Amino acid sequence: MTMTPLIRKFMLIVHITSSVSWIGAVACFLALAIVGLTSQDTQIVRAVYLSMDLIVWYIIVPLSLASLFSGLVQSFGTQWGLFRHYWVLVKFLLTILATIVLLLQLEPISYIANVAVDTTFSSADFREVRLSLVVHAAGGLFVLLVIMTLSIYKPRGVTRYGWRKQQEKVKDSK
Amino acid sequence: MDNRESPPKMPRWVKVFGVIVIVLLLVFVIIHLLGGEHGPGRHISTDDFAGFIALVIKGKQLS
Repeated sequence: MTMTPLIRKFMLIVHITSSVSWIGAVACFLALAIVGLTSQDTQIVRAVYLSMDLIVWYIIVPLSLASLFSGLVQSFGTQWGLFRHYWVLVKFLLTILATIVLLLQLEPISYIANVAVDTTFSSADFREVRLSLVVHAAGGLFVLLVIMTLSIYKPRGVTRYGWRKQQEKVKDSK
Repeated sequence: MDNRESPPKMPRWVKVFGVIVIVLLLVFVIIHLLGGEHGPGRHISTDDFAGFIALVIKGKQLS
């Protein structure tokens, strides 16, 4: 299935916008997570975790899903395919991994945000959960930067499946 | 277009990538085995969880 040039460009815009925005949103999330971990001001810490909860649910999760699905549409709707080139396949697997880790982190993020609502919450509480948010956000940001690098460099390498498809195309054109 | 008779070999960068992923997975498994379960349950103590449940109940009563 090949898309028309107009739809292909539109889907490319959706994919690039959602993917790059995802990186930016995770960078903001990481900055907030670091402030939440290091700040001594309880009011700031509480505000940070409430903001992080909103950012993750309304910005990061929708962007990650948009990036994943628009990437799938791009791969199936163009000659690149999903399983033909190693860089596309690796990118897809890393995106799946990043999305799964993100979805697993929703619970502790919402947990700490719910706790932060309570007036008895102090900046010294739940240090391990808060450190975990920093580590996961930093790891997620690193994986997203790797994905972006793969998209730009497109390192060479065709899979066995991709090679077979190329051979079929050559035979058909003869 | 690749017109070789035999399928191409896996590129070196994919192998390096694979090794890194396997090492990271091993590290994850070792941490998992040493530190117990991974995820929120590992970071949240029973007291914290009880406090959280109390907060949720309080929130429901207020709303």
